[in-house]
Amino acid sequence: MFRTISLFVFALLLGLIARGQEQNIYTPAPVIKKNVRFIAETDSLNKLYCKRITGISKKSEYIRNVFKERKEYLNNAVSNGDFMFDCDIYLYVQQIFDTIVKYNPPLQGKMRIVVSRYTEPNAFALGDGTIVVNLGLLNRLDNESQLAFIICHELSHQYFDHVFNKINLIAEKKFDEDFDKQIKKTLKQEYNVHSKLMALVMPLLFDITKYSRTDESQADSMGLIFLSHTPYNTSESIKAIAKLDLFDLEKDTNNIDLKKSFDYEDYLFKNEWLTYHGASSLGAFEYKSTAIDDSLKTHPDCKIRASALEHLYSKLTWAPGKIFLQPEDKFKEISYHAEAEIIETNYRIENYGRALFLALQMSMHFPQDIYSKLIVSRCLSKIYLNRKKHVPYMYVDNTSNEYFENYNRVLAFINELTMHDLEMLGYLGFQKCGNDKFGSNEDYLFTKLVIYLAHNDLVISKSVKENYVAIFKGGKFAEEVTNIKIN
Amino acid sequence: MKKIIKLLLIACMVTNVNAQTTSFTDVDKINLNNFGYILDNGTLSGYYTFYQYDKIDRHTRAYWLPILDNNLKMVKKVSIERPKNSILMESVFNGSNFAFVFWDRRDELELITYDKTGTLTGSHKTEDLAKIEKQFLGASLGTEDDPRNITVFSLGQNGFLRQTFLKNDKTGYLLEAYDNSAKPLWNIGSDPNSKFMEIASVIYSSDKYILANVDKAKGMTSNDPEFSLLAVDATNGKKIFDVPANDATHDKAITTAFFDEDKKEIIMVGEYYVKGSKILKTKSIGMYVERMDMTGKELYVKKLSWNLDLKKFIQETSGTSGSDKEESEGSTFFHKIVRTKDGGIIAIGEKYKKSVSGWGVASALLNGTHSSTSVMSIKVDDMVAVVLDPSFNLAEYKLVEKQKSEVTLPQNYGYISTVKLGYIIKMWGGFDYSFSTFDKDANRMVATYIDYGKMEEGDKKKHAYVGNIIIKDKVITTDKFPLPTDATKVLALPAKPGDILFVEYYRKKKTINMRLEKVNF
Repeated sequence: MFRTISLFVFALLLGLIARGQEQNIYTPAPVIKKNVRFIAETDSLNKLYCKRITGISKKSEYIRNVFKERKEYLNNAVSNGDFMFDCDIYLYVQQIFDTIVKYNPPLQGKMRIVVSRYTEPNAFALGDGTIVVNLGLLNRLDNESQLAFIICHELSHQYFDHVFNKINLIAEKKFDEDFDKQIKKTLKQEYNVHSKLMALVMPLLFDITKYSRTDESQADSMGLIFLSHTPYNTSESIKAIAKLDLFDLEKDTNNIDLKKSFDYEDYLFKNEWLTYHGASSLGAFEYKSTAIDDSLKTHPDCKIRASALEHLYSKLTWAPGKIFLQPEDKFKEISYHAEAEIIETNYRIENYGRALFLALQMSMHFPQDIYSKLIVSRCLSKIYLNRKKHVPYMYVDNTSNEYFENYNRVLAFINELTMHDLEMLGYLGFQKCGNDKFGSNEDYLFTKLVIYLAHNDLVISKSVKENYVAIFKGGKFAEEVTNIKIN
Repeated sequence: MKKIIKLLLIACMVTNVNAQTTSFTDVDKINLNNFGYILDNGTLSGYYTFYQYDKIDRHTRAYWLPILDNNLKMVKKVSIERPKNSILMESVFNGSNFAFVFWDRRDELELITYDKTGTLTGSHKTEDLAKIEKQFLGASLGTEDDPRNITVFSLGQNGFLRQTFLKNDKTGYLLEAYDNSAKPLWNIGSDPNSKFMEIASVIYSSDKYILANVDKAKGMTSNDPEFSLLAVDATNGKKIFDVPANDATHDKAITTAFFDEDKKEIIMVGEYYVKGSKILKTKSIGMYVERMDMTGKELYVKKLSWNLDLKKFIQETSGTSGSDKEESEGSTFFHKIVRTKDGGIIAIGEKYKKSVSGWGVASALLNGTHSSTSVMSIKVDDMVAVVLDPSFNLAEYKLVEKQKSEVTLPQNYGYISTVKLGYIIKMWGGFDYSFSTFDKDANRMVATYIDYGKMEEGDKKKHAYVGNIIIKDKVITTDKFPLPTDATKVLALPAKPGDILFVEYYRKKKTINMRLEKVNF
């Protein structure tokens, strides 16, 4: 066992070193905005699940509308490029899903999986047979079995029709005549309307959230059963549940050494850039939790869930499974690719502050990584160009107690940079990205254009633009590049 | 426009808070003036709103009091029951506790304190307010410029200070200290037998000291008030000193004062005048900075004359003889004076002068003697930034050009002195200066004004620009941009240093967005 692990670590290190020496640039997965097969599948699944809704009552109409909205959500998500298709991440997740379904015949034919570009570490069932796994989840787990368990958990929600049942419960309350009369009567009163309304609504909320918590526990147990039918390692399910609590934290909570990242011979690091007065002007607020908070939770506490699952696990006999069914290295590679794609997503939604922070973290872990360096330089220049044009300042988050200190410190750092600092740090950072060795790489070329635009070097900008247009006519930045006017 | 936005702001509740913006939607009942700033040692720390969401009985209402930090994050939403028609006048944060001042629009003022969990820690009612206090409270409802505390101040961890009035024959001042539970600690006031009207304005407060500018005059309309600096021990309310601003050679008016923690000295800044002249009637000779020890003894005074020192500085730095208007044309109204970490001073002012009003003349001709409009007006001119080094020598001076505006004076106001008119125009909101923001050590300061200029050539549409004067490391730069919005209404408000808070109202969407915008420096 030890020998196997040592060999793995050695192989991994070799891989990283090789990546460092070769200085390859990660090529992000293409953003696909059309998928005829997926749209058709959405349509047929939606029809299948809507068949259960009978009658013409207001309640039935409401449920039908909810499912209609879900279909529209899926179609819009595809046209926005929010889902990943035909890339290694998608294929990896699909492979796990296929394995689970293969060993669990009741799940066959009615369900599918999709990988979203959403950055929150989460997965969810939409109730129409679609299970969505967020990109943000993929670099938070230790192994393939943990991911398989989370998929099993979501499949269990679908298996038990939890989503449909919850919509049904809400619809029942929504169209309950007695409840409606009580609300109307209360609204007509002159005094204490708010507190009386709360007294009516809160029990309903408690019912719904209690229902959700019961559903979660049921999905945990059934998820374990589904997983046990597969060759995956079942004990990883408990570890996966225990990890959920960590999802509220940054993956890496260490502070970034900004001085190391931005100290140049020609432009020395300024200590004033590190000015940080805390996340909030009013300091950390003390939160007093109440019994109501617990009652309104939709998920049971992770420790309780892990302990319940452990109890179930100890009661039954399980076949020893494999932690990885696909090559172990592949999981690490997918994890790295997911990390890079999360940066891409943040850049794509123009959250340059977050993309910069994540790229700095990646750069800290992989000092030779060129992709993360390009993103750092490009984000600094993008912030410069947007600020120069006074584009509404929506592209860098404000510090907040909701964020971790390491992220807040980077946000405070960005806030301290003058226009000249932004320009110079972007420019000098780019000079360390391979000196046109990657001139035929789309990300490199686009970054170069942005850097020289910010540097106000119109001659180079013009030539880089022409070069980009010539090589990447239908490229991912083509539209933006075409719209850039260089005078 | 400001009032409309304010009304809408107050009318709304926070429904969505994301990284950069906060949005509000409708609530039960709206009220003016219940949106404000939370200050911590004079620095903007956050915002509050206050609005009714329920009726408890005939006389009592339930209100929400959401507290937002300076990043627009809602940190607490407190539910509070108050008499109907309550106005939340102001708030202060002392690092651990909040104090809110409520006024019932009549004779009662209540100081309410909360800790950082949003738990009520105490309250103190003051009934039977002096007439002048009610006038002050009423007047402060309409003022909007630099966020400042009017009646309540922080005493650090020790609690809060309230600045109020004594009901003497002649109006007097009273400073009252409260602990974090709103329990009275001590008070200090003017001599009840004083022959003068004495009004104190707190200009500095901490857990150790309180500094107040005391204005002594024969009456409200007096043109020759005397100013003195009052220093009080914040731990026990004992007077440390009360020294007149005037010296042997000049009369002086105090604009502000600072306490130097390291040197245990006080730095006083203001304008100086010809000895024996009526301060509010004559133009100042220049500005002065004075250092004094903790007994009130003068250690050093530096006087900078508009005509000599400023002109000389412009000649030396620009190599020209300087623009005539820099030191000779009109007066300068100083809106904000701050002290930098290295001991220097930054002052932001605006040029203005009395002139004949075209509109006033036309109006007088059309209406004969029945016109209520004066033929005189105040012309509001360029912005002025002055930077003094730690020795109080002129380190930088900049005149920032902007579109001129004119405030036509009501009849008979033309006879009032230019200096006094400056204060009146300020009260009317006639200056273009909006506010200044600066970090705690004032290393970076941004003064914002609204420039009602024209769009660039080719676009004749009248449009307001947000103008900014940025002072960083004694270097003055400027940044100007059109109000970047497609909103029905927009308002620029103070925010954390280097930012401006834009409040945008979208009529069709019935939405108000509050968002922070960066100033380029």
